[in-house]
Amino acid sequence: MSVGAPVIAVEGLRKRYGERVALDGVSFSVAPGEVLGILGPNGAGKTTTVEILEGLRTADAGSAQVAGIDVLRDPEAVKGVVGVQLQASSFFDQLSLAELLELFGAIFGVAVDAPALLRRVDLEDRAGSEVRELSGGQQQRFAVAAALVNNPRILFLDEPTTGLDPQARRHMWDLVRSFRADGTTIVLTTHSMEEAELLCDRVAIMDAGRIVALDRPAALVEALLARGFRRPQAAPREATLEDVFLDLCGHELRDGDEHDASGDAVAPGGRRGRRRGR
Amino acid sequence: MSLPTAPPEQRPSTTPGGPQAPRQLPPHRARVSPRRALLVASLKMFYRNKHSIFWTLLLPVIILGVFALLNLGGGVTAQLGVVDQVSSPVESQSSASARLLTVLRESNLVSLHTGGSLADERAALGNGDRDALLVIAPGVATQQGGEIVIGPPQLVLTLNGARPREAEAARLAVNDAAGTASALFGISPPPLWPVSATTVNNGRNQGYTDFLIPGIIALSVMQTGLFTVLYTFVHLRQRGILRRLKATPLRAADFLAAQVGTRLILAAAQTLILVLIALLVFRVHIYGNVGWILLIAVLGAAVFLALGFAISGSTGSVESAAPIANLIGLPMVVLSGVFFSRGGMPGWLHGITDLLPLTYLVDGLRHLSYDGWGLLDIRTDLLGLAVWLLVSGALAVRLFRWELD
Repeated sequence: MSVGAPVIAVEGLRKRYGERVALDGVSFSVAPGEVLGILGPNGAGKTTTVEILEGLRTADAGSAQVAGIDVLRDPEAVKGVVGVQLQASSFFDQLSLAELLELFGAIFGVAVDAPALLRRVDLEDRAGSEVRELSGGQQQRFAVAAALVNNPRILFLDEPTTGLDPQARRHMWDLVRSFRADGTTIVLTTHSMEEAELLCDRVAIMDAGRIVALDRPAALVEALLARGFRRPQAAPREATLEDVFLDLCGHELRDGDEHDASGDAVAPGGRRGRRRGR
Repeated sequence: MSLPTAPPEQRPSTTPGGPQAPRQLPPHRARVSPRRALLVASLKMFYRNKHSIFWTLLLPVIILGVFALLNLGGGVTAQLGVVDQVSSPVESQSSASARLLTVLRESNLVSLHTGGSLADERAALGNGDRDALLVIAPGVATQQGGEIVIGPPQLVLTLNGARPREAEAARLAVNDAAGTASALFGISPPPLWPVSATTVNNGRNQGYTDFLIPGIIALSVMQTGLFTVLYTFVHLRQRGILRRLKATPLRAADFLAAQVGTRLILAAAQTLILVLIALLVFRVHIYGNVGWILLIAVLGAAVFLALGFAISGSTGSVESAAPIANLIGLPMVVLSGVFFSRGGMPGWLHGITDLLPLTYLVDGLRHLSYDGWGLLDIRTDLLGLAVWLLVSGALAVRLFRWELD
C-alpha cells in the first residue's frame, strides 16, 4: 500500500488534558502521495492528533515525524512545510481574500499569486470580498486556498466538508482529488463515511484516543463481512435520499451567488457552515 | 489596495518545492517581511473598521465638543479674595476701588472675600480656598512737569492654576468690573487697570478648553492602548483567527511588534489630529512643543498597550472584556484629572491618584500643553510612565496568551 519512506510517521502518541485522556497510544504512518482519512466520533482524538502533527499542540509521550521533521522537538519547523485547514478558525475581517492570501504569503516569506490561488479553489470572482461575506462552502474553500500559500507537500484538512451542502461537499471532494492527482499527501478528518470511502486510500478509525482500525476502506468492509456481518435491510436500495436531492437540485454549486447572502432560500441544506459564527 | 510585495530580484528564498508534479501555484517567490506586511495589514484593517475609527478619533472630538459647548467654565462661581491696599489719602482712588468692589459684588462669576490681610489671602489661595486673589495697590507716583501725579490704582490678580475654570471666571469678572467701573466714572483714560494677572503656575489667557485638551488626548491614548488591544485580541482569539496564525511559522514577537507598532502610530496620529482640531476649531492655545506632546502621548500609549496585552491574557470573551476594561479605565478617567483638576481632592486621595498611569500622562501632557513647560520640567511624569511601562510590559510578557485552554 505504501511506496517509499513514509512522510508522516507517528508512534505511540499520548496526550492528556488534565484528567481526560485524549490520545492513548496512537501510531500510524502515511506514504507520500497518500490520502489518509481519520474517522471517529467527536472526542475520539482526531483533531488532537492532527494538531500535534501541525505543530499546534504538544504531546505527552510518543514520537511524530512529518516530512523528516521531529514535530515534538521542533513544532515551529513543521509549520513552514505543511498546509493546514483548521476547525473552528477564521481569518481577519476587513481584508479581502486576495489581501489575506498575500498576508499569509508574507508570513511564510513568499510572494503569492493570489488570483491563481483563488482560481484553484473557484473563488477568483470573490477576490475583493471579505471572508465573512462568503458562504460556508466558500469559507472552507478559502481556508484550503490559505493552506496552499507555501506550496506544501503535505496538507492537513480537518473536517473540510462539515456543515456544507451536498453541492459544496462534492466540490470540495473534487478539490481534494485534484490535490491527490498532484501528488500531495493529505491527512483528512471527517464524519462522513461516504467521503472517507470516496477520497481516502486508507482510513484510520479512532475511538477514545486509540486507532481501532486502519486499512483501505474496501478491506475494512470485507473484514467486517468476513466476520459474518449482514445488513439488516435485505434488499439494498438502488438510490439514496441524497441521490434524490441531487437529482432535483442539480450538482452545480450554489454559493457562488452574491445576492443570496442574506437568506437560505436559494440553497437547501446547511450551507451556512458552523464556522460562520462569531 | 494590495499588500506590498518584494521586487522580483529578491527571489528565490526557501522553496519547499518538493518532487511532486508542478501546480498552478505561485510561480514567483520572494522574501516579504512578515512584520511589515502585518503592520500594513493591521493599519488597513483599522482604517476600514468604522467602529475603531469612531472610538479612537471621533469620540474624543465629540467629548471635547460637548464639554467645550457646555462651557463648563461659564457656570462656575470663583472664590475671589480681595485685599484693598488703597488707603484714603487720595479720595478719588479710594472711591474708585470702592466702586470696583461694588461692581464686582454684582457679578455672578465671583464670590468676594474682603477684609483679610494679604498674608491670609495668599495662604487661602495656596491651599485652594481661593481661586484668585485681587490686590488693589496704590497708583504709582510720577513726576510730570514738576507736578507729582499719582497714577490709577494697580490691580494685581493672582490666579490659582490648579482651578483653571474658576480662575478664568475670576479674571473675566475683574476685567469686566474694571472696565465698567472706569466707564461709570467717565474718566478717560480709565483710571482702573488690571496691571497683571499671574497664575500660580503661569499667567496666560487660557480657558477651560485649553485645560481640557491634554486630558482628552490622554483619554484617547488610553482608549487606543487599553481598550482596542483588549477588544481586538479577545475577538481575534475567540474567532480562532489567532489559532490560524499560530498554525503558520509567524513568530509571536513579529506579530506583537506589528500590533504594537500599529497602535503607536495610531496614538501619534490621534494626538496630532486632536491637537490640530483643538488649534483650528476650538482655538485652543498650546504653549508646549507639539513634538514633545507626541512623544509623551506615544509613551503613554505604550504603557496602556502593555496593560491591555496583560489583561487580554486572562480574558476569554468580548463580553467579559468590557467590564474589565471599564473597571480599570473608568476610575482613572475620574481620578486622574482628565476633565477636572484634582485640586479639590482630599490629600490622601491626591497622593494615591498621583501614582496612576493616566495621571502621569494627563499631568505630563497638561504641563507641556497648558503650562508651557519643557521636557525636563515633566521628568517626574516621564519617569512615572517609564516605571509603569516596565511593570506592565513585564506583566504583558508573562500573562499574554495566544489561546485560552
